[in-house]
Amino acid sequence: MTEAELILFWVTLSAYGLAAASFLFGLIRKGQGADRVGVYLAAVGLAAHVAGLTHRSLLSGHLPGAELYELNSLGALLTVFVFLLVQARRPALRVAGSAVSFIAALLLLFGYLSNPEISPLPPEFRSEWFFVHIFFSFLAFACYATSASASGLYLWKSSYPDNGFLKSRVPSLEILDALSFRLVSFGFVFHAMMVISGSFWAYTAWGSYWSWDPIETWSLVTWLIYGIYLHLYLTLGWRGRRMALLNIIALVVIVLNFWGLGHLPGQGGHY
Amino acid sequence: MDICPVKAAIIKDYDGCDQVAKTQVRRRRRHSSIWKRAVVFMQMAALLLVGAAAILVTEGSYGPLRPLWLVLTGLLALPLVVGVSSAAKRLLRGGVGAHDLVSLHRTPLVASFFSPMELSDAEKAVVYFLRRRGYRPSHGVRGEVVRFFGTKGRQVPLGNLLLHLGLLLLLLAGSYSSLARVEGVIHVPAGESFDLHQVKGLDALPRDFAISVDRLWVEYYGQEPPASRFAMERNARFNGMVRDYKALVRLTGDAGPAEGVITASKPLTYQGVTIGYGGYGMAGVVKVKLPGRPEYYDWFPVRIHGSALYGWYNPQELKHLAFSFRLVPDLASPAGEGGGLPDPSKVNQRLIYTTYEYREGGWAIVEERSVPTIPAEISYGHGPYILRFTFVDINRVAGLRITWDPSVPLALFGAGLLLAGLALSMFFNYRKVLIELVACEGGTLRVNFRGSCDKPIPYFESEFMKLAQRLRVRLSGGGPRGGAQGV
Repeated sequence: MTEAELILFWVTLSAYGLAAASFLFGLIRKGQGADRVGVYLAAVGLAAHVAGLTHRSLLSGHLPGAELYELNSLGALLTVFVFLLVQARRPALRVAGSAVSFIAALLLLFGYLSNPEISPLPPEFRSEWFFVHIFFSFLAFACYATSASASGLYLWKSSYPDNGFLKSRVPSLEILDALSFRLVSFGFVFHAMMVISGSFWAYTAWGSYWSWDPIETWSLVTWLIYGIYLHLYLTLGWRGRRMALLNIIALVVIVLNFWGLGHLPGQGGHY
Repeated sequence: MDICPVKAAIIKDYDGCDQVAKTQVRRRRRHSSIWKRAVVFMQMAALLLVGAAAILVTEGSYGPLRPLWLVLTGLLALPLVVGVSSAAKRLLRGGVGAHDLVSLHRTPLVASFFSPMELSDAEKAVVYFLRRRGYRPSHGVRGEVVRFFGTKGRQVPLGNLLLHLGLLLLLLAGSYSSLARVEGVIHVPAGESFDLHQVKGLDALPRDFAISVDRLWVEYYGQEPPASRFAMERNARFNGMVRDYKALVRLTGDAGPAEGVITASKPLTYQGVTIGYGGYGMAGVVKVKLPGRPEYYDWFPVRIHGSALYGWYNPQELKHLAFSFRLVPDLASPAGEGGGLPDPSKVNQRLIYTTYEYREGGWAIVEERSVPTIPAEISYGHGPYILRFTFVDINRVAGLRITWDPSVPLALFGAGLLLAGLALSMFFNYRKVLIELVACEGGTLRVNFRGSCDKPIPYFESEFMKLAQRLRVRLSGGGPRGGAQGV
């Protein structure tokens, strides 16, 4: 990492961390002002994050995606970006900002601890499809993570229906439920784009659209789980706590898929 | 104005229906509900089974589980066919009907108010209102009730149809691929050519042409001036690292001569056959000899399975053995002078050879050795046998991956349909409103306004509120151009 990139990294990480703290403070102290500060901090972090990744891409000569640091960093960036978009439309969802900012900071830190040094792009990754694949995978993750945060709030609020604090600070259950669904439906489309663009990339790199390596397979499995979620929601009209729970379980499967399977032996051409 | 989300009450309060219609609605709803639930549960089961099969396939080898995969694919295809047909039916029917409003959508919204307008004026005003708000109107009369349906976002049913059809095509393409796909890998030294049908495993290909590899080379970082002042080639730490593997390939077949450069991430397609880069390295011919038996030749880097030797020599014990030979660049002793760029042709190669033995649960490494230079011969003793591996020739070799998959166009079409369908059905809302005009005593009109949406109701609720308010204003005397006059 260059000095400039390192400075931008720490600015980003600090801004996300402070944003998480500010959102948490706003949640506990019922302060709208703290929420607003949290949004500004997250926006500052996002700006520094974009600058840092752009600087790194110019240095490395390729878009982010060559190593774990870049992947996690891109995931954090898109998660914060999606959250900022959603809260601009639904300001009541700012209360979920603490969870989202915390996830982003965690991703960034995890990437940094893995190995932040710039490395050349391996020959088989020199395909446009690879970057499309990476972008949509983390865009889908960002939607799912924000959706799961809303579902977490749903479970929390529905567990304490008479709690005045939750009544006043957390959006209505209908809104949380609808928002979770909308984000999952967006994430589902991006997830499909990720799988399909990944197949194209695999074809150019390994000569096969699908080779059933564990991460590929589990990516399909998570897509199917979200497919089940959407069917239950749209066709059978399931709502409420069970759907919120299913949404959170699906996110856990995604986390295990990307961050867990990668550490197992024999995980194929993926990280 | 009374606006409230209603579920069950809508049938009871369905003033526009006579008794027969009410019964039809109830029956339709019950029937639709049971059938729909059955289909959805079938879909859920199929999705779960395919997920489970996917995991099984990952854990095991693909071959033995192929029949299971096909059966499960069929299980998923069945509800998909049902989904496609019902989506098509709904699309063709236009999805406009009272029963749709109460049965397909689970949380309709209801508003009711009175209008002083004449019926004919109100009809014009309603049509104008619906068009103005982007709803496609359709008109119907039931008894004394005049009804107008308005639909918006009709691309959603189309999207549902497309996405299920796309998924179905993808499954078909996957099954077809598993049956018809032909692939093989060959290690070709620079300057050599071969005929496709000579490659082991590719004799089933319906195409045949000759491939010659004219040139093989490796591109390294630092070989050329950097593309920009920011480019990483300026970073000397990466100089000498591999940027890409390339091969200049010449093809001769029925489609005429062609040539192209294959890189690690850019294959070449000729007559529907894809030629990709599978590997690169210094390699050679290895000869295996058992005393008193004929010689067995193969290319390395290879993994010679004992079963191949068994087929050649017949000693039973060799079936459980495997030998692999590969060459790796010896980075510890680069041939470049004074820390400069290593000359690719002069980079020292280390030979790593590994002996495996099949034990319970898989292949275990018995022995692995790494030698800095390629010996003329390696011997390996196993029981009464002594295997001698002789290295005959060393050359630069490209591993070419030859694939012919007739299902690709079908898979591409299916993927396109799937994505288009997903975008249409997920990014848009299918909204439907019903406006009923009921003539009451005293010359007034009772207006029943109902609406529903296929997506979560909170988003539609605010739109419905606005629509209801504007409709009431419109029907209370504001009047459209050329429509009803104010009272």
